[in-house]
Amino acid sequence: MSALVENWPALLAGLGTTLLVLVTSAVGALVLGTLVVVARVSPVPVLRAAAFGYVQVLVNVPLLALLLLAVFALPDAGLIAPLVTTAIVVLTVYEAAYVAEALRSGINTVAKGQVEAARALGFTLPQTLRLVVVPQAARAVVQPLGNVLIALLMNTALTATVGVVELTSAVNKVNLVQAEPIPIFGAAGLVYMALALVIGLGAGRIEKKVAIRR
Amino acid sequence: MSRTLRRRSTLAASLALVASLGLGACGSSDSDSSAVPPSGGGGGEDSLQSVYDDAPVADAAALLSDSTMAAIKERGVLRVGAALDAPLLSQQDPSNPDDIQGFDIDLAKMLAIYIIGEPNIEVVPPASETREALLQNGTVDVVFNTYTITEERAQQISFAGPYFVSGLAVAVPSDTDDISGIDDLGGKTVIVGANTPAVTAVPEEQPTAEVVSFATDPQCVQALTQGRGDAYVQDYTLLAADAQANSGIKVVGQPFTEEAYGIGLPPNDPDFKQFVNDWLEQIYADGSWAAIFDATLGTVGDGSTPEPPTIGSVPGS
Repeated sequence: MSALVENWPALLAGLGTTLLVLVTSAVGALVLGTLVVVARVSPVPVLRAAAFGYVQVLVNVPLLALLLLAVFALPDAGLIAPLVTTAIVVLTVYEAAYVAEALRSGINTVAKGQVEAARALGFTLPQTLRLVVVPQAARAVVQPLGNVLIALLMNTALTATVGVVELTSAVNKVNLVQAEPIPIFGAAGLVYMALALVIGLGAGRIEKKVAIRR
Repeated sequence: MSRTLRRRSTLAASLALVASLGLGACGSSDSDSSAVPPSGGGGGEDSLQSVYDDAPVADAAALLSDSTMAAIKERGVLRVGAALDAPLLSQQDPSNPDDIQGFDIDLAKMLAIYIIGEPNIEVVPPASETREALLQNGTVDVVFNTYTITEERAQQISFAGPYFVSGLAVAVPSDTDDISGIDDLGGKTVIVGANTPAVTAVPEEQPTAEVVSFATDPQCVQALTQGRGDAYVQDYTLLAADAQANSGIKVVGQPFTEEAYGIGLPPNDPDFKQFVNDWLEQIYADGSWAAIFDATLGTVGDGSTPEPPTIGSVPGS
């Protein structure tokens, strides 16, 4: 344990990077995922196909492969960005596919009659989506979205392999010197667990708060 | 090429001749040699067969009853913690997963012969974060993994050896002129391999340098050539091999640290440690250590064979 106490500045910096990557890519994924799902349920065939393709490609390619491609292949194509930025973009794009799938299952819970009623009242398509469908769909999937964010938190650890010094990478460095893998990685696991618990409990509270009383 | 052909059976030779007539002179020999990386080490590895044939085998009396070595002989296979992606040290051939070559692996096979009589090893791959745990819980018998002997690690496990001494050096892109060694890296971005001694050695030497770590050596080289860092700090022999394979990078200056690599052993097993050290003394004395070095690490660098290090010469060993 003393190994962790002695190295707290490096570990805290690693935790900070983990949180930075988590929060920015979570916000990005929620926004991008919503746009994708809107395209997915829109009446425009091209948008529907594009959104379908986006989700299928990203759900079926391992995140590590995407990270390695973005970090090592894009520079050959002339696109080079700092490592943390690259990691955030990749995580955003990847998790957006899962956000879109979670939201789509929510949209499926909104009764068809709601859309028909909105149309009968003269709502345009954007109005129907913005005022009727998405608010109800999002309420139904608060917990599933929380799970997507927990998965995102765990996935931030993968960025250690491409040089991002986040929590996993920081404890790895401590272990390299101290050579006590079980307490050191165990402690890191507890930190991830605590963060996941915060996300899970937060999602539970939000769910209760926004629930529609019928 | 002629040497290779002479060794083949007549049938294979005539097939190669037919192939070369059809495909042009070098076609068939290229595909042969590419299966054995690195190019220089290919012939060298083959020549090790005689070293294996003459390898020392422990006396039955040395395998104390109820000891670790007796248990290994009973099992018939030595379980080794080793990398699969370290060129010249422990490199797996992707098209033939049973074929692992390099300095560490060849020594592990020699140890297997010493204990069991056959080069039977089972490699438990990349264990670098958890080598201590794997030794403590008995998943592996020994670790050959460029395992630098340190006093912190020696509190967790035991080390035999050292069996090799190397050092960290600096590589830069070929067109860099303003870096000629570790002293020029202040304020620069330095690429290191995750879980290598460079992770701690670079900040000690150059506190103002920014350290970026990547998981594997090929990734580090790629990152260096793509400009993600100004320099790459890694083991000198590994860098020499990289620079030989990739004209985009060069090694500058001399090694600035001394890393003594040990054989990781389970903790609190003085009999096994003594046994492995006795074996090291034997392969140092009979020249097989030098032959293995020449066939692997010796294929890059200046061509000279170093003296084997003195057993127990490093704190922690």
